[in-house]
Amino acid sequence: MKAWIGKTQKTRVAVVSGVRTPFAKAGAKLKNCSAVHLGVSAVRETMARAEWDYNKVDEVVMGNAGTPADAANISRVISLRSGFSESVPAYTVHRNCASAMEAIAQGCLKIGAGLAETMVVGGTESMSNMPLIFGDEMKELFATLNFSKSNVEKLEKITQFRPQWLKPIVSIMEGLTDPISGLNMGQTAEILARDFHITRTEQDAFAVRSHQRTVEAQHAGRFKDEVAPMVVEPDYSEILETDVGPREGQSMESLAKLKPFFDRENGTVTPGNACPITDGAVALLLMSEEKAKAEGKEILGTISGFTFSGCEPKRMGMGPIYSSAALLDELGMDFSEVELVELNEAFAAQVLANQKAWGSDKYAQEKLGRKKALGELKDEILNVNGGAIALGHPVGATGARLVVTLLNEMKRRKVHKGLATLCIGGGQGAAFLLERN
Amino acid sequence: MELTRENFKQEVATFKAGFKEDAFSIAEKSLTLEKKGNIGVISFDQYQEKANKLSTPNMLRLFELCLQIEQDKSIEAVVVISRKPTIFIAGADISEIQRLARGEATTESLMKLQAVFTFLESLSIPVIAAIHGACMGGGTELALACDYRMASDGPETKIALPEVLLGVLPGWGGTQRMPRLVGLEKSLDLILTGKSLDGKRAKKIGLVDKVVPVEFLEEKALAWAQDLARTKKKRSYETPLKDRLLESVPGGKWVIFDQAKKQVMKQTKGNYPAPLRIIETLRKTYGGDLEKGLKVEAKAFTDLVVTPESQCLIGIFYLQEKVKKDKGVEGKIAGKDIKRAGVVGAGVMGGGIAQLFAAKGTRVRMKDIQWDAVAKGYKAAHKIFQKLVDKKRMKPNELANAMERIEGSVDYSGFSHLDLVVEAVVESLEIKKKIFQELGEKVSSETILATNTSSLSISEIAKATKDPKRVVGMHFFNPVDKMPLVEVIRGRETSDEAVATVFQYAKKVGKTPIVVKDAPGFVVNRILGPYLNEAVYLLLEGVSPTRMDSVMEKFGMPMGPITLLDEVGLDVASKVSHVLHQAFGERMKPPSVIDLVAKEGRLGKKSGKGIYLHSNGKREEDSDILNKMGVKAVKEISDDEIIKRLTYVMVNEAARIVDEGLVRDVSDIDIGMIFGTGFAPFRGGLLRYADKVGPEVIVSELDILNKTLGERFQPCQYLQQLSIDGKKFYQEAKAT
Repeated sequence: MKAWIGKTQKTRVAVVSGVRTPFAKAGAKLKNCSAVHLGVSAVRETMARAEWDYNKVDEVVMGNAGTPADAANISRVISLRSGFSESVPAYTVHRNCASAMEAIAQGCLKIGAGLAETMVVGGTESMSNMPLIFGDEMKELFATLNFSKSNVEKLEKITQFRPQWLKPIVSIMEGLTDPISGLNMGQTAEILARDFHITRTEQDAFAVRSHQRTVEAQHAGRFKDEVAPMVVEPDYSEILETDVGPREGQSMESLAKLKPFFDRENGTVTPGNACPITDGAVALLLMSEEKAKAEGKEILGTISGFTFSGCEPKRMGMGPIYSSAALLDELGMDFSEVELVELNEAFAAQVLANQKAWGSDKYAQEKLGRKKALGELKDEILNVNGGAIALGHPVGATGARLVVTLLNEMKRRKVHKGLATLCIGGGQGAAFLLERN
Repeated sequence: MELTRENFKQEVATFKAGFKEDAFSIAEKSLTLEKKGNIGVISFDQYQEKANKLSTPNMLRLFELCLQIEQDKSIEAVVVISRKPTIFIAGADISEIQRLARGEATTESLMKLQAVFTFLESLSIPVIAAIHGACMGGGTELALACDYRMASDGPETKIALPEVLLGVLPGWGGTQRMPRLVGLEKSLDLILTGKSLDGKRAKKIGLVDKVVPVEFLEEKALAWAQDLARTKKKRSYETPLKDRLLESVPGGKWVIFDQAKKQVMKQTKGNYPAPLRIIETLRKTYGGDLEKGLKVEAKAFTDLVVTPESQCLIGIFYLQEKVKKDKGVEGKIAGKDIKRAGVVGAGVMGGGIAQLFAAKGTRVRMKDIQWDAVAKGYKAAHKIFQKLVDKKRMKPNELANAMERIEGSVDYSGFSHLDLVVEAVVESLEIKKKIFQELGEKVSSETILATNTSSLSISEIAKATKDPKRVVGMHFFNPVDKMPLVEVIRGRETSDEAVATVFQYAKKVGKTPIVVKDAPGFVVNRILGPYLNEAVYLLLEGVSPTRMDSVMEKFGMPMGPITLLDEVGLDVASKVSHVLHQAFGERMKPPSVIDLVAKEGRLGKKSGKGIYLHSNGKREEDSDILNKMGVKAVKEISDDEIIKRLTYVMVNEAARIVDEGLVRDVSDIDIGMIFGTGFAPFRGGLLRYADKVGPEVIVSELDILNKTLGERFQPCQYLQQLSIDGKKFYQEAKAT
């Protein structure tokens, strides 16, 4: 699979605006907001802050992983509820954790090819509202009741009913399990911890740092540019202005108390050093660079290239290095040129594993088919405002958050090249290289 | 003498004398009979007009068509259908009703027209009314005279007997055939309220037999007619079982009538004769002989149609029709379409405005300084929508759609592509000017900037922007979702386009607008100023709040002045009264006690304590209130004097407004007072009332009050001149 390279396109693709809702742990403050409402909130504020005319958007593409039963093509619902005209088409994309990055990719493909000038892209996820699913026995019962012709037949089936049939399958747990390897995402992180010999303490230390950096960014108001406060439905009594998740006083001691979740005996991955399931949405306004310039819009950054790569499903956490290496190669770039990196923190173990692999010639030779390592991935440029361990990971939305957070920090630091990359459940990686002049 | 097959031709000749020469040839073009096989189709398509109306020529034409059907033995069933896109039959011709009101109506002449429907009903073959669109009054009565009714499922289909709203009752058998079809209770509800039903609801109560897609209405009706032709099935009235049971209980009917009467008295204080006469008519005729019933109905109609109440209500109907056609400006300027709006200030008014706009499909960006305030705006809007959902007037997904149309913000982001911004912050010129200056910088050069100020000068506010042409007043009344009036204020520099846009948009969101020139208090608040001041003066003279309110309710106000003060809030009322005092001088000087009450935290209903005590939605008189207000001596004041003092000061102020040329027509004042304050509709509005009393009477009364109570009663020049010239506010009444 070849990478998409910005400079070979008909036009360069610019990010004009990117706004997200506050991220809130699932079951907390946004639990009553649907994924649609979250998406609408992000899209409308993106449009408002860009001062962009709703009549000048060609298409809306949103990523979403846990499709709500009442909004199968959630993008279309978000588009209409946000106020786009009925004539603006919309579709939803699903690439698991990279769904929102896939949405951005769709924007790049269409704008780059000249099919569209302006697109709204992003992602939304309400993990609080992931459906509960009935088991096979219950499905069978419903089918019999629907199709059986005689009441006797129906009655017969009903008498077989057992209350335990009502025990739902939590779709979120199913969704976070890879059917190929049969492993839950956390278990794949445990494999990486073993592969790279990453201790529980190292992981906890990383988690503490994530919280510290996130909290510091909050205090410094660094998320103000990207987070739009919400008046929370359906009571409208509460106003959510910041993310719910980062902990001010997160410490090694308190993390040490947590039990490993995926391997009770010998495991190292705990809820404290993994990202929490979370609700939130992000939207970006993309347009061709010419259009943005002609309309006098400030450009947050342009997209130099992106690619998606496959890797072992049971080591899905290594996705970032595969995709990043591939992208840099195709761009003809050395990693040392990259000044800032956002690498999604699905698990502390998984980020640390990537960091180690990044500097390892051996890993490069064995896995990436390169002679030399990509180069050291320094703490000073990695997730400088914290990440998903503190902020959470609303699956379908995170990819877009990485891009927005990265661009805003690049602007603050006045740096030119940044990399946003993440691992994808099922064994893939995504990487986007962004540029600011 | 009745209209019969035999005397028909002769009667037509008699009727013809009263109508335009071509009236009957037009009726022939409008109502036609076409044969589709063995089915006769009566098509109604009023020649060169938008609406089908049952004018006398049309009624006689219908009779003629019935004659043809009767003679043509090959016709085995009939379908009556309209060819208009959104109207079945809009009712009788109201201009004819007005003629009747001038005393030309006789029970006999009305019964001749009743005979048309009786003939239709008596045809020996089945007749189906295929209803799509507005089916009002006479239209519904025609449908009731058919054997069967089929309605479309379109939202345009509205079936009603709204005669009561014009101060009369259904006069072509509606009071007779409706109860036979749907029972007593539901008939009373329909006839007393004039409310309309869509196809689905009409079917639910048994008013129509079938509901079908509008696209297949004619086909379905023809197919049904075919079935009925085969079975030759005429309808036999059968009162629904539930109603039969209820009515068979000894005294059951009596209870229903009694309840209805109590309800009417509570709502109208006996000011409206029509609902009472409707109850009486049904009581006399229900369950009896149709022919006799029709006669009682006809008599009731001819009695009601000449009442002043009916004339006033018909007058208001025409005022509304005038507003419908009005563009708010002279000339050909058309208002711009509003798709996206902004509201600055998410308080009671701002939140209400945002809700209204969102409900009508406009996207609204609602800005306040604090998120807490924005949240309150959301909450207020949600509450109104939720109520509609609870009442099944709105579906939950529609609520979600509507709520998502409201965006919240604490800055002006997203304001650059709005078509209209309505400012609704506190009544402070300084703050409003600051906001308009900010808006002027932010919005596009196309955006219309409106202010919801109730008392400040539009021209002054407009000075804060670079382009005062686009600044206009758009004054809503509280609560926004319920109060129908919008005062559109034209500032010194306001462009016609801005006025036309706001005027047109106000109508689009279901409001009744009037255009007023920029002057303190505009129309409604300026007229209410002296009224509310006077109410406080009366309190200070010892008139109890409860008594004053009940006197004014009996007069026809929806609530008395003291209740109104408490509703509005004494702080708000006080603020407005000071603005008016400053603008107009001594005559508007508010009694100082009102400030005192507001300062003591007795703000009105909102603080639980105003002039009344409020708790749990109930109000109670504070037995010590007169004492607290420093009332020393209690004067004897008659009900009549209370009414005079309270209403004549309003007439006097209204006269000044007319004199100053602030409104385009005197009728705008009546529209303003009726739709802005609920001023007694059966009196036709403040100035209709003044005309009825007579300017000369009012001037002489004001003169006396002027001498005894103070100069605030000094009749204004304009009113004096009317009195001297023997003229009235409504000049045209004299000309015709």
